Amino acid sequence: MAQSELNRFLQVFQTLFQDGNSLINADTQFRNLEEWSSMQALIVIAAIDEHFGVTVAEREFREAKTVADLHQLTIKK
Amino acid sequence: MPALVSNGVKLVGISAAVPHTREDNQHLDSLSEKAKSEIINQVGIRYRYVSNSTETAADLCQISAEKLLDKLGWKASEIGLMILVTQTPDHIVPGSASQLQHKLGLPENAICIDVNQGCAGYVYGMSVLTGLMNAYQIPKTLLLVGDTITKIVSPKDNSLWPIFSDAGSATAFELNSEAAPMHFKLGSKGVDFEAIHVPHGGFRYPINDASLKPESISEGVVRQKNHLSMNGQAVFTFGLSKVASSINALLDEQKITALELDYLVLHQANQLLNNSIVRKTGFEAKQAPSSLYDFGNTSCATIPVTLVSQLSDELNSNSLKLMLTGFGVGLSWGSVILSTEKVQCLPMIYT
Repeated sequence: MAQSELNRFLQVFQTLFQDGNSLINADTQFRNLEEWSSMQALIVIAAIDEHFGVTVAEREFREAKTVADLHQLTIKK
Repeated sequence: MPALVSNGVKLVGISAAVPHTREDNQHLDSLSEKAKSEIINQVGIRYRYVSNSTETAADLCQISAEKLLDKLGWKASEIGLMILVTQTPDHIVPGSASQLQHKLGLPENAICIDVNQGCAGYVYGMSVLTGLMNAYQIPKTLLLVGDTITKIVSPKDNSLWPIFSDAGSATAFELNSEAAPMHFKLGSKGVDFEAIHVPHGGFRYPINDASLKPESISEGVVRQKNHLSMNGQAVFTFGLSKVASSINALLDEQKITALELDYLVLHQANQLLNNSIVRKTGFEAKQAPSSLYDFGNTSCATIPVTLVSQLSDELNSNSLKLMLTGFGVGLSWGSVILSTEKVQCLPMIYT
């Protein structure tokens, strides 16, 4: 169950990047992606809100490093 | 606290003014092509209006008020109350409302007060104004709302300079026993005040030598302590959570669905955020007009700028049921549900 939820999160996350960047995995440090920017951060926050019903707190978002870290934020709530 | 109700007050006219000089983000050399694309296509802002060194928010509000009074056929001497909402007054002391009393020719016994509010300021100002009209039975009033926020934004701040824009506005109200009630819901969350603030220049942290020293905050962001700073992510999550839930609470209290209203006029800061708020509150995209592309974020004036630039024809000819929602600096937020009927809505004024 947990793995399928992580996969779903990963699928949503990948669609937010150009070409649906399939090289992104759970361990990807998303801030190091070439496309990453402050605007991309807002796009990710909005998508997590839309698809997972969680508004990630700014402080928690800032501390997340990997895609899996972000996924954890959607589970804790 | 349940919604605040203001009875027997009618919005009768509205006008807005922007400075002569328009800047185009497409031609902002300090931005990379990627940043230009994000700001124009995601944030939604192409053009911004920038006041010159001699033009203030009070000036933009004054011309808006003069043209509105003329259109309504109202005499300045009839105005019993005028509220000016601004964060960029002519002077630290006094507030600018008293000078506008003189410049507009309002009577000396009119109540003229400044309200220091920002992005929620149009709704906050309307709440205070209509409350005073009810309490003191003042027949005719003016709400002036405007900022020249570009004067406190660093031109070397690529995170804020491409976003902010200047504008002023005037809205006229009159007592009318047949007017539908207005329902307000307002809120503040002062713990997060630093999310949007000017660190130095008030009396907690007066200007000193360090205030004027340019600081490199991040790549492309150089500003001083007397410039506006903003934590965009914090404001974005605030909009997603507090603002959307406040809109939903007001709809629930009034036992009305989003689709029963004609329009939701949101503060214009970020199109992605507004799209998300629209989605979370059950409105359809076509119910939420946007003026971001042409006018940018004009601080407290975004709602009247949107009404004038996007809904002028409908306001002039139809009866509309609107929700207006402002949010931002404070942090604070405010929504009002109101009905309009054949409002005198002037074309945009370019000074």
